[in-house]
Amino acid sequence: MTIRLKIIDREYLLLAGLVVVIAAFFSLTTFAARAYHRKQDQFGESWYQRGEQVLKQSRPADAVEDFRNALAYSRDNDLYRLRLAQALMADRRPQEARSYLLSLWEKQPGDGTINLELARLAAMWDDRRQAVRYYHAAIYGVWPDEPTAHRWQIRFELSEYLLQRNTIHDTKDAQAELVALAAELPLQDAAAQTRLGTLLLRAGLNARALAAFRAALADQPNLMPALKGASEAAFRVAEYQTARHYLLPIVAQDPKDQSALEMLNLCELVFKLDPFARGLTSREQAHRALRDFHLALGRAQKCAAPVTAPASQPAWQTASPQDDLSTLLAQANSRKPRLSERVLASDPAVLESTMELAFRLEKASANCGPASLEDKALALLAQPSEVAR
Amino acid sequence: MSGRRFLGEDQLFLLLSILIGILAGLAVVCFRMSIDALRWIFFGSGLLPPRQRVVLIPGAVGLLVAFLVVRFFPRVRGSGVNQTKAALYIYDGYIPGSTIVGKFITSALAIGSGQSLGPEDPSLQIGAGLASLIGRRLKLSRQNLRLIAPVGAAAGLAAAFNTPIAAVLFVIEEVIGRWSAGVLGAVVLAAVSSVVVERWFLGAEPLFRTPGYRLENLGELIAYAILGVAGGLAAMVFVKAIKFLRPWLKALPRWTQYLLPAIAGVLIGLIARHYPQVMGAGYDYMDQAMHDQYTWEVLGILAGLKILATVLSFSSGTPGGLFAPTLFIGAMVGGAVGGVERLLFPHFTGPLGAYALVGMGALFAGILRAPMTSVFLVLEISGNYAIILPVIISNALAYLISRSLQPTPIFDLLSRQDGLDLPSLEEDRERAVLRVEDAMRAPTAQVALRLEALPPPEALEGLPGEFFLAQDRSGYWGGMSKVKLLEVASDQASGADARAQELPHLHPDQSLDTAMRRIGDWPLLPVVHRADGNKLVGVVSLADILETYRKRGPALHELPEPAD
Repeated sequence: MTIRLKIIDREYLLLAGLVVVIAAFFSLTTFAARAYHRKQDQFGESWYQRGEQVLKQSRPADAVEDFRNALAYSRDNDLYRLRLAQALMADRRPQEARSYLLSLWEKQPGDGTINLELARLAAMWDDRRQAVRYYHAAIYGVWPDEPTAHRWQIRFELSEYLLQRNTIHDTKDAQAELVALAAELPLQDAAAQTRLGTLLLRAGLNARALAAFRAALADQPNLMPALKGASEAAFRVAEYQTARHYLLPIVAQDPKDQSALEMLNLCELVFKLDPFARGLTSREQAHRALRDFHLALGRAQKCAAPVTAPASQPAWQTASPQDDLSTLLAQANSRKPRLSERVLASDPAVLESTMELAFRLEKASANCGPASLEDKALALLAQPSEVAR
Repeated sequence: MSGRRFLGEDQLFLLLSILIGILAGLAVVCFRMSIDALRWIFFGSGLLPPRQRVVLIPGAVGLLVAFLVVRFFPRVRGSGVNQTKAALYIYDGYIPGSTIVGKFITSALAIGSGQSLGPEDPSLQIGAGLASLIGRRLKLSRQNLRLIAPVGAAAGLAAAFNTPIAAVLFVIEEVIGRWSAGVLGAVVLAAVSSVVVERWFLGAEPLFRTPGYRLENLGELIAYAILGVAGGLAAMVFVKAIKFLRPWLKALPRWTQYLLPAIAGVLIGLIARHYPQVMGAGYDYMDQAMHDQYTWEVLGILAGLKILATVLSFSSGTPGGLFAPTLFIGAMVGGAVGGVERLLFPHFTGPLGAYALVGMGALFAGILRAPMTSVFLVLEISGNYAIILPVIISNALAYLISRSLQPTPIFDLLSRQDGLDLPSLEEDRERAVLRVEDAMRAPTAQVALRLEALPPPEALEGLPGEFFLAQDRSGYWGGMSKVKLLEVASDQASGADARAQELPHLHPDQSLDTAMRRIGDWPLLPVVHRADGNKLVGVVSLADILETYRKRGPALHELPEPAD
């Protein structure tokens, strides 16, 4: 019995001794590990800060090395990993950046920043499907600070990417993004509204663009890019009065702005040539119509032969088969002797049909060399407004 | 401890496995922190070491390491795997305490100073040493003392890699060589407890975080097969280089042992002036390779230089492991193959990181010849289970090619170079098992008789032998002496009810080892069908078994390769 107790005692003693040794070793390791991790964190942070600094100095290659060092001390640090990827992108090493971004994405598929960077990479490689996928993931992703502002910015970026691809399909998608953005953007943010208006103009949504520029100008009436955008949008939707309204301050501020000047002149001419302008007497209408008819006929006569419109020309600018220039000229020449201000003033139907013929002549002559400012104005009058279309 | 215990030896063994796991985990954590701390001291905190130090430090520290090894710790040379096997098979589980201390210090110095070696195999030996020390203190039985070292080895390896499954498999596959519930339970407990400790202190993230992988094009499997071939060839080059250089350096005069690690360090330093990636274990650079940070040309160069650097370090007798360099070479070979594939087949979408990861497994299978471990290691160090198909294909090919070009596995080669005749577990696995069907004879009427239809006594008298197999009325095949048979034959009325003597039965697929154990003093044993115990398919005698062993045992050319 005594022997057995001794054995048990000894076994207990040895095991207890082992547990004490382990406890002591554990405490020692805890102490050492704390110091070790402190040092690691210190090194990691210092390399990270260095990387940030050199990145600000536009030295991405150095930043890459610094962020790599930082990452070596904290392999799970997503911030270091992300900054390394961004530095690689800044250093034009997208393939290397992608790999880090993908490993980050695996861990946080809903993170806005990571999705945005991946979207930019895909856009850079013109991988439309992936780019749109990551842009959308970024829009609806998690943003720790200012999520709304980030989402607007990304929608802008996505729209710009789609518009830059310049296909009908992409333009339609861009229009959808911009319409969604227009509904979200605050009206008081002049810069954002101007940017929106510019993109809407590029996307062909001129009326919406005009509304965006108007919103911007309501906030900052003298904002030059908004004024220019508004004038162009108004011009495109055939609101020449509005266009003139926005063009006047532009020209006043910069009298040498040739494009604004030309647009302003065109507006003035449109006002002068338009026989359907409000408040005109029938005599004045007839006078303008007759002048327009002779203007169009003169340009058509200068065109020796019928001209084929280039394929890229919009459908509404292309003359229909019956608008063959020679046919139109024949019609115009046969009508010409019968036309006078009196006839036109007395019969609004004749006036309308004469203007119709003048417009068709102008359209058919569209490709007959450079047009005079008056011809351009007449062509603008012939152009149906966007709203009407 | 003799006499009755408060805990049974088996329970004590399992309890000790947990404690050993914790202790080994703590030791490995300290070991890894020491390596990092030494690296910071030697080279600063940046990944790229200062150019003026890369030659000086490995050389100077090499001298110190050599001095410590030659003077104080001669047993710490090499990786540690063979030393653990030697403890199991030769020294009854004995690993001296000084080996633990020596391995810790010299390996930390060597790896921290940039020698191209890894911390995993030393961790394995440190774990085994701690286990052996505890086992001796507790006076475990000889059998358990032998097994306790591999248990500690599994704990050390698991903590070093943060891979419990791979560690368990490696120890079973490479060190112990057999599966049994007791050993497996102890090894698993030790591995799990050490990994828990390691994760507690160093974090639970896998060793590498790789980009997601999805096999989108089945054609990519061909690329992974090519990677397996490349891995097998690279493994062969690596092993052959060690096979040649190590004995050559060992044969040099003894005083050169003080210089060899320093010379290796200087040479590695010279390489590192242009390619610092080859220094140390290189995990950070493996991570970079997995993240597309190198072109395929650079990856190829790094693979070649790492082979050179590791062969120099290891053959010089510097203590340190082969696991990390193996993974490094694999990552670079894999990345290079992936880069070429991307160049040739841009529509393949597999990330380069996946190739690097698969390459690691391929080289592990090719160099260390532990195919199962290599598969699970890749899965565990990456936490990426989608990659299993390419890993299996690539590892299998690398393993087969390496085996055919370099038949002796590296650990067997090293043990034979060191004059140790350790069992080759790969050779054991591959050796054809002799079965009962190889030795049995057809059951002719001369040896197998039915009691219901015995021949007349005169005919029985004429049969050769004194013992026969006899089938009684129930269909059971037993044994009967000739005397007894004659009795039964002369009394046909009662003879039909006679019962044959019970005999152990054999089945054709059973090993001859089983037959030897069962045959005892019986002159003959029946070989019966597994689905029908009354159907006799053969008979076997001790003479048949011995004759088969004599005829079909290993030929001379199949015997282990002699040491160089």
